Amino acid sequence: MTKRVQRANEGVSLALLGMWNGPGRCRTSRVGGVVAAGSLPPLARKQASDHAIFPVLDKPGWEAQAFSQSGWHRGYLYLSSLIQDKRFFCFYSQGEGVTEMYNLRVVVEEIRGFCDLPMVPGDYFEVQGGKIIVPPGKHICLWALQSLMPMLPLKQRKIDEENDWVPYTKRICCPDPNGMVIYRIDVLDEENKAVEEEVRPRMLVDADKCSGCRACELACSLANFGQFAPDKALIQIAKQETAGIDAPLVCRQCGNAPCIAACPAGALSKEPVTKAVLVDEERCISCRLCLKACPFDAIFFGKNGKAGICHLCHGNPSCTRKCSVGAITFGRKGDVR
Amino acid sequence: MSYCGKALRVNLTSGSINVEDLSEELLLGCIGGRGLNMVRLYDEVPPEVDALSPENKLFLGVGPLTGTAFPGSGRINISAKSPQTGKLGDSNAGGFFGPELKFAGFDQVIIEGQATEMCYLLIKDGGAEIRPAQHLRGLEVFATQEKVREELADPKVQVACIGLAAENGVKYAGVFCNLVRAAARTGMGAVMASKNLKAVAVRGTGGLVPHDRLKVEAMLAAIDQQIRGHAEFQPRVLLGTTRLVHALNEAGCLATRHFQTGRFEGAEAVSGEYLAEKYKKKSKGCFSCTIPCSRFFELTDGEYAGLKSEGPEFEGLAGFSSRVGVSDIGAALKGVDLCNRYGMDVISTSECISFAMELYQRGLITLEDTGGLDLSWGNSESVLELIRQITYRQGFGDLLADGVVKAAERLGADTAKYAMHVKGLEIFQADPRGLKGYALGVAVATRGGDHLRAEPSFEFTENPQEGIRRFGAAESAFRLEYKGKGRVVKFYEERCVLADSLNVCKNTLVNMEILSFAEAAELLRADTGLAFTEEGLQKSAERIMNIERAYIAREGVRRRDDTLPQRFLTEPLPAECGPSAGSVVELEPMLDEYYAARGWDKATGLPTRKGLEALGLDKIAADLAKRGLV
Repeated sequence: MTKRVQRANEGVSLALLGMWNGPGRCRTSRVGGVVAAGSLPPLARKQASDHAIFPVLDKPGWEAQAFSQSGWHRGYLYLSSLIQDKRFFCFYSQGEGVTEMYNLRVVVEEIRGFCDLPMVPGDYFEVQGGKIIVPPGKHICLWALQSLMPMLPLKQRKIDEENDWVPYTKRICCPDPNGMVIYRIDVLDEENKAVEEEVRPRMLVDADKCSGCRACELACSLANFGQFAPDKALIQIAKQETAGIDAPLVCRQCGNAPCIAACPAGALSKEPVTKAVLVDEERCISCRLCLKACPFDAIFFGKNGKAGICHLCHGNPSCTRKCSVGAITFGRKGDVR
Repeated sequence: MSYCGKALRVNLTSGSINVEDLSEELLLGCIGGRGLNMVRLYDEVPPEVDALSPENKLFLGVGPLTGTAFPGSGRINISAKSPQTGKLGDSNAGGFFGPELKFAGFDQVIIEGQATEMCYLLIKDGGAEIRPAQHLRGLEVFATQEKVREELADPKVQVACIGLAAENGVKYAGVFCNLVRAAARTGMGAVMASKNLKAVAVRGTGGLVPHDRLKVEAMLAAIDQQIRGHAEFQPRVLLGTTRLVHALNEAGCLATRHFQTGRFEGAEAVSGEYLAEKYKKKSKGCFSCTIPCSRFFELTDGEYAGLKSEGPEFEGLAGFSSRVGVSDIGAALKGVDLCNRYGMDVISTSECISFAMELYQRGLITLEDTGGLDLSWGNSESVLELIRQITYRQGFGDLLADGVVKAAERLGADTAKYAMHVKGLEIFQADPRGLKGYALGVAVATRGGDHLRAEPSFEFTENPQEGIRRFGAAESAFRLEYKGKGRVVKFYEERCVLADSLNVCKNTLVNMEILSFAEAAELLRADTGLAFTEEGLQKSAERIMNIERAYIAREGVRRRDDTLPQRFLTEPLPAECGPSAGSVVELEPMLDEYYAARGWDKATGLPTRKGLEALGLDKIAADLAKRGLV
């Protein structure tokens, strides 16, 4: 394990790797001449004698799978740091497919609770390559810092990967329920200025809210085919009336889209901006393997036998505007609406 | 063009299936849906025809907006001569059946004759076939719908079917689709059963191409916005019509213990608010709905725990709670659920049961008559048992299964004054004494005692200036006043005709008054490309009302039949009814005003020849003249 360790400024990766200085010593440390407090989460504490191993994506299901398949990691993040010369150092292992990284600045944006540490809004630390640097005079809670750690390599990645679906998360709350300190993670450009991140909305579906009215089907068929024809629609509602189930079937723009991988004819591709899956009808051979691969049953075969997949109306879906109950929305989960 | 321009004519006796063209003039004149059905009903089902004979015809009509993205465009009208009233039968249901019929390519289905064995009709993309349905005999409504879908191996098939009640000959059995979407009034299910037709299944994969897409899109977006900004939007999505239990109880005109009072002490426990808070799982809507007012619920406690279904509407909920004195919401929901599964009208069923309960209270019937059923108020077990008995036509239920008029005939002349019906159709769950406009609407409704023919909700606005501006009387804006109500009812009757003929939901068109005649004409022009005008539409609505009136006049209806049960005209609401206390319906002056507004003869209530001819109904005028009616 340790053989793979490199200094981060040489390297590029997604996984943090290294060693804690020993479990006990991290609880209160002097950083940048300032007292910062921190502790390890239980799992890390247990394993901290040699390495701290955190599962990054502990949620089961396709999202975790999508990330692990995208090549950067196997679903785990190796985290460690050393405190040397009153500075934090983090180490990264070499990853694949990543050639460049952003620097980050993590700013204390707001203190909503009763944090008794000497931080004030505006305090920050920077992640420069593999180093975490707390500027002299600034205070950062070590507990919050270690909670933020799994986020940092994700936000640092700078890749042009088709299936890159890093969660759009800009803010994180410290783990102390009394403290409620809100940290904002800014991505820095070459001149160390915060850059506005591109928000990539996607189709969000909440079947528990769906009233089953099928207005979305009409909105879709009218926008795309100029007629009211639910059978042609690229979003459809599957129903089980006696059980009260109404499930909108629509493409969710999977990061690692299994339909694209499954297509033997190369008929499917991703739209570069909206990330919607596009169908090349000339190439489609109507084999339905994409439908078999789709975890959401969101591919429809009309009378011409060609695959039909929601293309997000080129970034402005008409169906979501018609929905009265908010069962389908276009945005990012967690966004305040 | 959002008309299909085609009608399907099926003769079950001969098995012939024909497709007929619908001319532009016909569609322009009667719009569609209810209008189209009424034109056919007048022409094809004369007074000599017995409602349960093969000569009666069943019409399934949808309108120009059915199947479009117009909010609530999922409705269908089912019409025939009514076996319950012997007069005009017409009933409207939501759900997904109507739109599927449009996508299959038809504006109307006409079913004639009588099959020798039980069958069902499958309509699919421009064609149809009659299929055997012996295996569906005896199945309840939900099971029939599921079974047909299973058999056709297509979950998108929409099924309108009858349940056990219709098969057993209950006169107020309805036609049901999408579980609980019921065309239940006036016994259309009984007509279907008489034809040995268990169900109509439909599947359409076609589309409706609007004439001017951009215009339609823009107008629909504006209408959606208007709806979402309307004060009624939130409560309707939250509670649907069930909020009326609480609202009417507060107003002192909730039908309680068979209209003996307007205040139900147990209303809180059976209110829509209570239901929504405790058992609602989510809002449910009909096709293309912007105001999904139905609710999926699951009972989690009490005797009926585990019961899950959609709905109920106010009429069902109040019918099996306040009207029969039951304050257990579980029992009320079970009653509604039984009616839905057996396929019966909740209003007529609850009237028949509460009628019997009042007779029992007054000692006019005893345990001997009821076959041992204790019919004291609030006995929910007896209520549920009676629903079963009616369905199977067993015991005391058999006596009630032909409607309250027949039941009163059988139980003796002195019981007739307790039968709450108008023209043979049982009346709804609000006390007419507290809602004078509704009272008039129910009294003159062309299908008999029903509130959905007018819904004059203007009388709740309490805005005297608007009352003067719109209907020439400040009183018209107040529910307990009677002045101006004739004009209010005329206006709202025509709004209802417009809604039923476009075949869209009355929540939007009537209660919220969204889409004026001018806007409707504009939308129809953009949608169909036909030359609809505001005046034309208004005239069409009036024409359809006159056709209906001419139809029932031909069946013998006169002014004397436009009345209400005696109780509402003479017995004031008791003191406990708060704001409505002491009120009776001043029907005669309202009727005078109504006939004057309609241009009908005040003494007889018949339309005049001149009036009919001015509406272009020369043929009908000639027919009535031949019968000596004008």
